[in-house]
Amino acid sequence: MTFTNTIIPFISSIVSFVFAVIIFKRYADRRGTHLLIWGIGMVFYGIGGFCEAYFGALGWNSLIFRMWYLFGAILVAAWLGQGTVYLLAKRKWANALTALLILGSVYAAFRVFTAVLDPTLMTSSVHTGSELSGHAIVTPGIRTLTPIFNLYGTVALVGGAIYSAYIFWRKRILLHRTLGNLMIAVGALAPAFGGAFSRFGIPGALYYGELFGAILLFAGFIRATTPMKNTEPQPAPTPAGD
Amino acid sequence: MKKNESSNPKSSKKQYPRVYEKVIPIALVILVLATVFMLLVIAAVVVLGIFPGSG
Repeated sequence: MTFTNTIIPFISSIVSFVFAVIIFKRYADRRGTHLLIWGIGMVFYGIGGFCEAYFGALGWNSLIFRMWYLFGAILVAAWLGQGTVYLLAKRKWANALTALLILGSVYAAFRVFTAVLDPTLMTSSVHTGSELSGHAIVTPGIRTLTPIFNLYGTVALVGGAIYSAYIFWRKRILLHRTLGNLMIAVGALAPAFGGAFSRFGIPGALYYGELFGAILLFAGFIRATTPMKNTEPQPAPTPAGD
Repeated sequence: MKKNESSNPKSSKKQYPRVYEKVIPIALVILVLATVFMLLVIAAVVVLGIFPGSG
């Protein structure tokens, strides 16, 4: 048990759950399917962080491991990305993709919760520190689900945020949404980079990446939904002499 | 004067505050490059197993 592998993911979990509550409250006030999906995604983010903190503090538990792998490793990015799909795609396409995502999530849950586990295999991971690793899953075919969900989630969430920021920037409107989307894009990438750095031997990078990501997603959402004062786009100054 | 302004299409173009005009396009380029890099990493996961949870 260390500060990095217990306290940091626990803080990530708290930030995620608080963020989820705020999103759900906004959904209750204003509706909007994207808010509902984002809220679910942040609950998954929080569950993942909690499971990491539990493992760091108390060690192996098969239920905790399965929950971490399902919610933290497989589903979180895809569900957050699905929320963005509702903002950018036509409703019927978004609904169709949501149906696919739900089916895929149920299938993933079934596979993860029926998988044969061997926690001793986690020691073969090149992860540094005491981290959970998909190596503990013995049953074949489950770990290959992870990149599929993550690929979809990354394209939808990060790509959607970058695209939105670009559109607002190109039109020079709604600066707060441009900045908020940039923060969301960075926040969505942070856990992925943290995981990669962790694999390359930087201790705790995954946990700090997840915490940084949760904070930036939270801050980006607040920024994007809160208009800025006195920074509305101004007409470009006319060159002197014109 | 008004004729000059109306004939200059740039004169009515909106702008963000100067610091954002400089920072935002740079941030967009960096984010696009980072996203492409991470997509390549994720795509390579099946072979290399270097993404959290999948490896």
